[in-house]
Amino acid sequence: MQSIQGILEFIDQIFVNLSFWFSSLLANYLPEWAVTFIMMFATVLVLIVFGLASIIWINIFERKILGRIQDRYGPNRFGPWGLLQCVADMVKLLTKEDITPSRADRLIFNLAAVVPIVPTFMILAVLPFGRGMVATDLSIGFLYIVAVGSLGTIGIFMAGWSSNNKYSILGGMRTVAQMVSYEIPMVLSVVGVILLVGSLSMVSIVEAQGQWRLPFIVLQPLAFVLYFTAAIAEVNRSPFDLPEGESEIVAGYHIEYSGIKFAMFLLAEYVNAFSICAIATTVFLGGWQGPILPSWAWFFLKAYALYFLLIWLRGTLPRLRVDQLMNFAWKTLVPLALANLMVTALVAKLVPQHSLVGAIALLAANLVIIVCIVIVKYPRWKQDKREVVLVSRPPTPQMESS
Amino acid sequence: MTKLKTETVTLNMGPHHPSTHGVFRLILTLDGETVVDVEPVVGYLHRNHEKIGEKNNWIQNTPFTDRLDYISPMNNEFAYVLAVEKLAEIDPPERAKYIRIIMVELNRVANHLISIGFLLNELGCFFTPMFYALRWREMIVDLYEMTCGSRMMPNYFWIGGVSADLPEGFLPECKELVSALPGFLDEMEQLITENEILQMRCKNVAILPPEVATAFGCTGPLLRASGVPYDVRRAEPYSIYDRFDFDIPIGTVGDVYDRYLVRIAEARQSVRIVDQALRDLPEGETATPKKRKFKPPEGDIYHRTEAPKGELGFYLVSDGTENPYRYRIRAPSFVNLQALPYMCRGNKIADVVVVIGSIDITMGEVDR
Amino acid sequence: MLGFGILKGMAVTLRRFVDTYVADLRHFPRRYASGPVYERMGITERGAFTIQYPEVKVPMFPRYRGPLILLTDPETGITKCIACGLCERTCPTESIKVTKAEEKVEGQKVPATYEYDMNTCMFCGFCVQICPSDALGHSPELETGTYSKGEALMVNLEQMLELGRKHAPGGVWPVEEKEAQPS
Repeated sequence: MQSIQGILEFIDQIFVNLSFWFSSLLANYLPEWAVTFIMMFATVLVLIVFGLASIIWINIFERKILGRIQDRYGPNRFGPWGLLQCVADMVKLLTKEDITPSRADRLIFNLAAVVPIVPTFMILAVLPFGRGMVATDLSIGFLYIVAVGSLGTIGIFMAGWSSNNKYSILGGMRTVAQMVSYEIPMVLSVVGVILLVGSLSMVSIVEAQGQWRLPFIVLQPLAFVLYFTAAIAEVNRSPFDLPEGESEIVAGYHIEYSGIKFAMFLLAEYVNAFSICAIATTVFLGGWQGPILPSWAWFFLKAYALYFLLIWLRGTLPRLRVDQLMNFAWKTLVPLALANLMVTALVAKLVPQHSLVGAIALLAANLVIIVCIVIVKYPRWKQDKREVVLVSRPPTPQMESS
Repeated sequence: MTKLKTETVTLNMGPHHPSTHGVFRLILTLDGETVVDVEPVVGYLHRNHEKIGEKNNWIQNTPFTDRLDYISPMNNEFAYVLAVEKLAEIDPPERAKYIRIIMVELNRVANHLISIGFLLNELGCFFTPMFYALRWREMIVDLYEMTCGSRMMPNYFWIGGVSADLPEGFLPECKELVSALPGFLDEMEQLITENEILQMRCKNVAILPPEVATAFGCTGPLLRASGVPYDVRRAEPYSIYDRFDFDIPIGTVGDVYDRYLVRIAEARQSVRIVDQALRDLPEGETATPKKRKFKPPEGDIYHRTEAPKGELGFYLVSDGTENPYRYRIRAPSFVNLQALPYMCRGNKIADVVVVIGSIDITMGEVDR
Repeated sequence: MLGFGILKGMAVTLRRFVDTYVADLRHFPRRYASGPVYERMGITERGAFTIQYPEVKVPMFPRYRGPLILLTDPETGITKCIACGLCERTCPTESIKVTKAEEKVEGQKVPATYEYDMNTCMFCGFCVQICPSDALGHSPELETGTYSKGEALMVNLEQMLELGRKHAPGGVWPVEEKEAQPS
């Protein structure tokens, strides 16, 4: 029994131990400042490599599942079961001609392909991938994520503007409007959790869920739904993929990009989509906590389960229209997030922390909000149902002879 | 607050835009995302169809009509063949008549499936309903291939009958398909009809009041969604449509959502008709004896039929020779398309593609 | 407006998603086998319906209208074509050119040349239907792509007879054969 636990412990801490071993190895030869510097550099390198490499499986995961949802197999040609399809795609994109439109604003056009990628990787720095596995535990972790995450908008708007294409400027404008609006419900929905934790640090949020012995999705189901909806919109995924709007504005902001620059946008999109799943895992699903399996395995399991949900939504839902998107953010998500925040603040003050009673009270408070919405909206929903009228013997129209 | 001075933007949508159903160009005048004006430009797929029709002889025209509305070729052939038969006063055998009805109504189902699929695709469903619909259309075109050898360009209807009798194995497969289709339509409705996003996007968008619809000359599901129960199959029964029992679904509001509902309901009614036709299918000949030289008497004829997209009419003038003197088509897509600017004005860009999808056009028919 | 419709739709897509795996298990070797036999999917069957094309090919229906072939009578060994030129006259796109040979072979008129232009052919099948001696047929060939237009798609008499012997050895079209059954 002892030995099994020891093995599990070892697997759980394998990456942390590796990092310790590496730094102690370096400490033999180098001064302390150099070791710190190299260790930071190595962590960043690992994160970037992880980000880039994860594209390979995230992409194949997405396309396979989307294919299955649509009654087809998805890519299955290159490599065993088509698993290397993404490699082939990347090679294709890298070898393609890199076109810059002649009337484009060259500097901004080229810069725009790089800008969205940087914040994407910066978010990964504060995510706890496992017990002790966090690049840097910022005390303002969540605030940092929000601040950095919204930087991507600038890159996308730069792309939209500099392409000198009407479709791309429409896409760019949509992005800015969408991201600015959806940031608010996204932050507000997490504030409830932060109230319960009392800290913005991502590591503390995970640990707090250990103290409650429940993931926050049980305590704050409404907040989870709100966060996830807003986050999907934040990263321009279906059903909120208006900036791309394949069928209306063709490809939106990246319509003029080709080759490696297009690949950069693709990369940013996929890593962003993964990072919102990772954030949702950390904040609402208990992060790396879970029985038996090593902590990092739990984290990825939960994150990819959420990613599956994302793909599933993409395979099912139509796209919203731009004015409805704004309405949805300001008239539905923001009031709900505020209501949730208010109720959570009230209940959290009244009930004892880290107790079952408190958890039930919080859950009940959330359910009360949901029930209120249902009661208010139900008559309208009932009324909205519409059916066709079947006419069996329509009158023959009077034919006018001409 | 002073009013900001804003300018309108002219945006060229098409001819190579993914959602314009072929090579269709729209010149949009935009105020931000709002469409101020729409100017459709047609003619990019003009193939001189009507002039070729005059060059060809009467028999040779059938395969060309397949290329009009290539989503529902059987209906085009049906309209042409019926017009010529009316002109030459030929009465095809009973069995041929029933086979024609089976083919045409199956084609209507296939067309509506494609139409709904594309509409949802333009709404951003990322091909999921499209793939589901395509699989069932595939089974219908498989039946066509089995019968006449071609999936999309069947050239099956002859003046005075059909080119071949139903092959062995057609009837059991067709019966199974007909019994399974309503189940699929139910699944399709479950998938998307009650979807809140779809309802937001489609309800009260591009309302076409009945008087406006009739003024534009719209026909087909577009007109029926506006609440006018006009269906040529009922209003002026041709072929043997008076023998079948079916309903005309009509909409109540006349928006995109109604058009979607009407199409699904119409597909159900078509399945009903096929079911009845299969039940009543008589034995016997399938074509009148074939003539090498076909010369209808002098005169002219206009015959209208209810194609899936609307009223498809052929106006044929014969001077007693082997070739038509004049060959003119009233294409439903083209006429229905005229209502597009009316429906698009004041809506958003995203609605423009949805409206095009809800009209259900095929550029082959619009430009001819 | 409560999301029930969305949930219903998601249930449908999830069911389709699971069904593809169920169908894969039921036809375990089918998905991975690259044999030439394709099992036509049942109408009510669920699961992925795409065909893994270059490996798996669908057998054509006997009546499939492919490029034209000229049929040879297997008993006499000469073509059934009597060079009457009806196909040439009935062709809506003028894709066929026939010339009659000066001399008869075994008392039958035969074509001297037969030029079939697949560039313009629209596979309407009129020529086959009108042929008085049933000498024309369609090949079940569907991969007729070439790298250039023009000469590559012009088929002459010899090639057409060769195709006829290959695809309709009995000298009759349509070749009525049962669809390949899975073993």
